[in-house]
Amino acid sequence: MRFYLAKIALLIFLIPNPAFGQGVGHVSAQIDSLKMELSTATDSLEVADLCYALYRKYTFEIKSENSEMPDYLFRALRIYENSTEYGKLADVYNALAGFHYNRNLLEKAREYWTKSNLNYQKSGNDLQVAKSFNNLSLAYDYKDSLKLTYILKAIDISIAISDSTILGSAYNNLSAYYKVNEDYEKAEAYLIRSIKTAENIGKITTQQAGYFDLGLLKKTRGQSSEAIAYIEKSLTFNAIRSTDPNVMGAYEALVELYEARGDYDRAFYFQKQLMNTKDTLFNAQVNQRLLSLTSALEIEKSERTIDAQQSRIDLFEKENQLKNQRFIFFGVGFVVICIMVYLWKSRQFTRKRARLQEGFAQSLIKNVEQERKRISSELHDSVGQHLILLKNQAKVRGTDEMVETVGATLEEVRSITQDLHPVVLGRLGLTAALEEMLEKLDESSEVFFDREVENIDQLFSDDDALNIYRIIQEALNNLIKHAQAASARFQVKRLENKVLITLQDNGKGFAVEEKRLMSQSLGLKTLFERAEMLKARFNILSGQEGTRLTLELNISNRV
Amino acid sequence: MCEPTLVLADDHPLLLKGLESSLLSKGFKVLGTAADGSAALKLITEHRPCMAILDIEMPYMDGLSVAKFCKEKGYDTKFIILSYHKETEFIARARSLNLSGYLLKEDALDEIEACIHKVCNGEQYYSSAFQMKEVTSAQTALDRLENLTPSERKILKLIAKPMSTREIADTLFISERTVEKHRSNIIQKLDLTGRSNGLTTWVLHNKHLLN
Repeated sequence: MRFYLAKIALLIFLIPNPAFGQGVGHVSAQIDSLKMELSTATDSLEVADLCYALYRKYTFEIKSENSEMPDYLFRALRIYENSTEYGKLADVYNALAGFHYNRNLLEKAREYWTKSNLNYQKSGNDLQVAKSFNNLSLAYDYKDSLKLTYILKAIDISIAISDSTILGSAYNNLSAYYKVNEDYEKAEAYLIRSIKTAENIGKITTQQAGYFDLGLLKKTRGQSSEAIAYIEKSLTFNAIRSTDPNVMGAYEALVELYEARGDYDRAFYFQKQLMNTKDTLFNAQVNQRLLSLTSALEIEKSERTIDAQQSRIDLFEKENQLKNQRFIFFGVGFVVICIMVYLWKSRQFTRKRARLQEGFAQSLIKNVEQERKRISSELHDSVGQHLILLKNQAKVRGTDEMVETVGATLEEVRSITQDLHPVVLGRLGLTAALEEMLEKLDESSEVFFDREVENIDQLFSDDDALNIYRIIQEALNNLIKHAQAASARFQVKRLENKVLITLQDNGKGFAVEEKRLMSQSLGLKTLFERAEMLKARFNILSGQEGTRLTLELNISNRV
Repeated sequence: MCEPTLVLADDHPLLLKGLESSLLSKGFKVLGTAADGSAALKLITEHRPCMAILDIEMPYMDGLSVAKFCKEKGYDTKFIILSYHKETEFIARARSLNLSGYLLKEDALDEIEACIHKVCNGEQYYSSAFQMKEVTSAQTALDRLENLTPSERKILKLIAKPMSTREIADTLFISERTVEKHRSNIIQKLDLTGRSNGLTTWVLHNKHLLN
């Protein structure tokens, strides 16, 4: 039942401006020219008009729902929405509502028809207002009181403006409403009124639908001969109307009616008619269904495209954000890594260079020591021995003067060899060597030495011992030369696993770091270099109250 | 007169040869000569001479170590160090090992005979260049003064200024106790024990010696 009504409704809103009888080829040429116009149109309203015109061409003249249709409609809609063309806007809404209604999207259809209705009201086109009320009623269920309200509104307006264009259709709707609610008297009365109204204005479709529905109503009420008469009457319109959406229903009803009467010949005839029509109509239906499905798909697609575009925009934005974040993250990360690598490399380079320098300085010190030792023993072995012989000979055969001179020379050589390399260190060990050195300084200088030396022999390798000796020697020399100290305290303490050597004076002190950085102060540099070689903790504290030098040597890891 | 048997050791052939011929010419009995420490030890172990005259600086073993080794073994041999070196630590080591003599090579020919004789008589002989005077044998104030260590002499100078123990301690950044310790050492070395204010009096009397 619904199906047929739907078809009627569809026809109602399709009908506004019928232009039949023109060739499809002619129409497609018109469409092409419209498209051309559209492509060059600059005024927005003109664009909208062209869009709507194109839609109409497709819908009413080619009668196929082209996939571009929704595009044209929406395009027109957007333009009209921002204009005062309420009538045109209402037309577009109307078209959209029909679109949705045909696809059983009732809610959307209601929305668009309501909008259409409101805009027709604005534009002051009462006929269209009535029409849209009638259409709107279609989108409501029979049990919904709004359906009846809207139908009645459509009827009232039509009567008020004395325009019965849609009045027949509205009466038909009203009849259907009463039929569903089983008020058959009213249903019949309104159907008759519908047919009469349609006849007055020569509206075939409404007449045909009216007779068909009247037949069905009679059939429902058990008045079979009247039913047959009305339905057969409805079929007579087929010759005039190219497509009758109710033809199959009519055949089916007739088959049943004749069968019930026992008139099998007629029943068989209509059954055959039904089969034939079914074949052709079925195909047509299938095709139309297919088409409508396709276009439904298109609509959905376009809606989805909009959604998808929106979400794509969102997504894109998010992606962009993410990309940016990632870019920033990776960028910053990369820069950080670069900096780290650079720092690491340069640190390694400096370290390597420092190591190289250190190694160079240390091997230089070692070589110098070796060389000094070599020269020292060379002097001792050659010059020294010869001078010894010479002195002994002079004592026997020479003069006192000669003895004295040779003695003095020998003394000089001795002091040179001693300076070059401390022989006591090699022979008696570090403790004795340090004692020896301090005793000499005590004797030769005005500085009062308070010393406390514990035995640290056998704790260090020869090289280490020599370095310790040299450090103390250099420190003591500096003390005597520069400190202007009255007294000094020298301590060598042997602790459980380390040796602590301290030298403290009450002199004027000096700026350690300044001196150390000055390239001239080779002695101080060498001091630190030797401490480094010893892997000792070496510290010089200097101030106005004197200088304190500490040398802390680990002995647990030494041989 | 004793007739000591001798072993000589020096890694300098010229000196060794000179010493040997000199000793031989003086009538000493030289049992053998060695050019390094271990050869010297071997000779001493074999011949057990009365005396061994050893250089310090020799290959393999230095003279002090050879002497120490033999002393520990209980050999009777007496040792005289004959060295080029004057370092006090060597001499101190020789003394601590209770060696009989320490001669400087440069004074060898001069002093060797006297040294051998002294040692032969059971005495010690240390080269005149660094012989420490015994407290008892030091008669003059100057002699006694020379027995003081440098530190002690410095403190003595400060006492002569005059300065109190406290003042000295402050000047030298040492404790008063250390000064007191030095004072008592000085008093002992100058043989001033038992006299009250002895040191102060002595310093005032001998101020001219402390230049």
